[in-house]
Amino acid sequence: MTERLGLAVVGLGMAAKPHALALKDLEDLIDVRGCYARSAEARAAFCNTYGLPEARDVNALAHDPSVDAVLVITPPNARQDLIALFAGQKKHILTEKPLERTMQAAEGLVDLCAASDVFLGVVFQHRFRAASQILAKMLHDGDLGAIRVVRAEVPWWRDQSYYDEPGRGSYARDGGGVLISQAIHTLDLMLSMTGPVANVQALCATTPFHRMEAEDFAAGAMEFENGAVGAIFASTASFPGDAESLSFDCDKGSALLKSGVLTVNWRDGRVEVFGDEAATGGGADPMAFPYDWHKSLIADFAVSVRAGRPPGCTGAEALHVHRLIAAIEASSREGKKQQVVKG
Amino acid sequence: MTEIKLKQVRKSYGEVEVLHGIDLTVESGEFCVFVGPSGCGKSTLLRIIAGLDDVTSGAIEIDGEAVNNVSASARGLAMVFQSYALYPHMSVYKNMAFGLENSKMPKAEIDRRVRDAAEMLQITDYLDRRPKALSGGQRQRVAIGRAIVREPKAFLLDEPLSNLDAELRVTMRKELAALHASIGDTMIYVTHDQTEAMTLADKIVVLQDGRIEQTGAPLDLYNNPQNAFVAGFIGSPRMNLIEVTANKATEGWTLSAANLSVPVPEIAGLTDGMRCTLGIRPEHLRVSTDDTGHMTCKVAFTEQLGGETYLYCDVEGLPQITVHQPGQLPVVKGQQLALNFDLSEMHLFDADGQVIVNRVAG
Repeated sequence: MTERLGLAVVGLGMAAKPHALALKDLEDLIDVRGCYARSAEARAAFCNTYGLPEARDVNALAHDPSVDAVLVITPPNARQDLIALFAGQKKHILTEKPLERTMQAAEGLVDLCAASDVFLGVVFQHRFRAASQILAKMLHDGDLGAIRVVRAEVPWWRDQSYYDEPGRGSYARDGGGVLISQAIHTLDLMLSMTGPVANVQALCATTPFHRMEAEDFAAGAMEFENGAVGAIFASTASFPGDAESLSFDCDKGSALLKSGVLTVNWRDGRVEVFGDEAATGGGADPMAFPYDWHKSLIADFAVSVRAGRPPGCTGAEALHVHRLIAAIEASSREGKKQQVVKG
Repeated sequence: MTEIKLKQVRKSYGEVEVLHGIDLTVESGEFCVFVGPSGCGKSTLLRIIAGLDDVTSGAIEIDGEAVNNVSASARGLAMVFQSYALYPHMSVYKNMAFGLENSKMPKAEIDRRVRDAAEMLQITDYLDRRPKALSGGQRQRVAIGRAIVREPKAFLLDEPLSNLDAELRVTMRKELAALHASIGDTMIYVTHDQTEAMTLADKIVVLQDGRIEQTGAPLDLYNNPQNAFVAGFIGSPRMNLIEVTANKATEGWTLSAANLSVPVPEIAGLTDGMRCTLGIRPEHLRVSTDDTGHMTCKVAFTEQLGGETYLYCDVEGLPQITVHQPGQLPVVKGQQLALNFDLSEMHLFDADGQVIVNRVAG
């Protein structure tokens, strides 16, 4: 059997739960060497709940030779120094989305990991859902023909209590609102299937439903590099919240991906349905989703790193969605069509 | 000394191909600059050479050995990033030494390399500081120093000066040229700035939409652009490009457009009524001493810099024309001027933008 991947876990807040459950299931692949959070109480509570080992000193964890990689689940404003610390010790990095709060900072992290010769993976777990992978293969293999029209919809709901947590929905802590914190998954999944967006014209706003600094609403029209056109709608102001969806109108049929189910309406009249319905955290409880996608993603990271190849979703790939979000924000700010920065 | 060769390199993201079969040889010891507008594929190409991105197809060779399946760290190249990619929690010394310490090099040798590089880059006084305490230019020097101490086969520099202010960019440009002259290693440098390309390169590779438009020495590209894109991209201010029609004359041809008529001698490849693009650099336009010329225009505004003068002229039915003349010209806004074209420096491109001739006469 291949040696297990020694993993450190840093950041044990709300987002850590699906990771912890996944790690418990992946004990044959991954040896969790220590879990760290600045709060001793949070650390103890997390480690007791999930039966994972506690680490009291993040520096010692970074220097531990039995640690091969780190899973970073801290808020976006507490990533850069941690990633530098672990990358500097040649530990591979798997980080929660977004990579960072701004496109430039995200590019900096990708460069830092490249300079350190470590792999950088990003937790875009929606890519690992079964229906997503079936659709990705159909599009890649040309079964559906050329993509002509794309719709990405994230009609979610968050109570004000969600944004009452200090820093939530702020640029300083989160890097923005619905785009970078919620819609980023759907937009990343879309880009993984369509390739890059060339231009976007968008409007972002904060509705009266929420007291927050950044946007809880974004809508825009996109022109893709592959010639397709599309629209996005993203909101955390759409009570009671519905599952996010992606639809692709192609030459040979149209595909709708929603709630883990892929429905394909072929032009010849056939209708095919793939996958099982699952919640995605679009309603009032942001953690109401299963953990098996996290499990698949973390397993892919562990196996890839052990094999010396990049994980399924790399930091460099994640820059595409950061560049798109930056262009959406700039378009809204400047009131005109915006070219998406290319790498 | 290292030669880097690319053979039919292609790269796709999903359905979209962003590099379309790149063939290129970077000679040993050459300072090669990849230049082009945003999205042309220059950074992607550099990352492919570095081993940070895979190719979809094609081959990369370093000193004759295929490295497609060789990891980034094993290629022996050193990359300098636009973002510097320094460790914020380490001192400058440690940032430069760190990669060598991991390779188990003796401490005395590490110390020698770091101090030599620091002296070369004038950052010896900052070795104990952390990156946050340095200016952008100093951080970039540290990033370059970190590459130098590795004594790599070749240096790969990705827009290394883009985050610096204009004055510092000029200073660093000179220092990079001096550094290359001093160490003589192969360097590949990516920039969107044609001035950086012209001033630094032994060889410029102009890219657009994932294709090489032209490769050559800076003045070769300037004097002999093979297409209208390169003609317009290389040179500042840019070449004046004017849509014209070629009409057969008794002797030779007449190139005509609104308010423009240029008689030229016989040119192979022209046909009567053919649409072409005339290219003339701002310094190859002459202000007529009388009222006759190839074109008449109205001065929209002037830039009098003392040693040289720029005129920006409106011509009805044509794009604005830029004129560059040495010395001081007694010309004012609104003045009518006649301009003559230096035919020995005039370029002509066909409807597809490909060069017909780079010196219409002489």
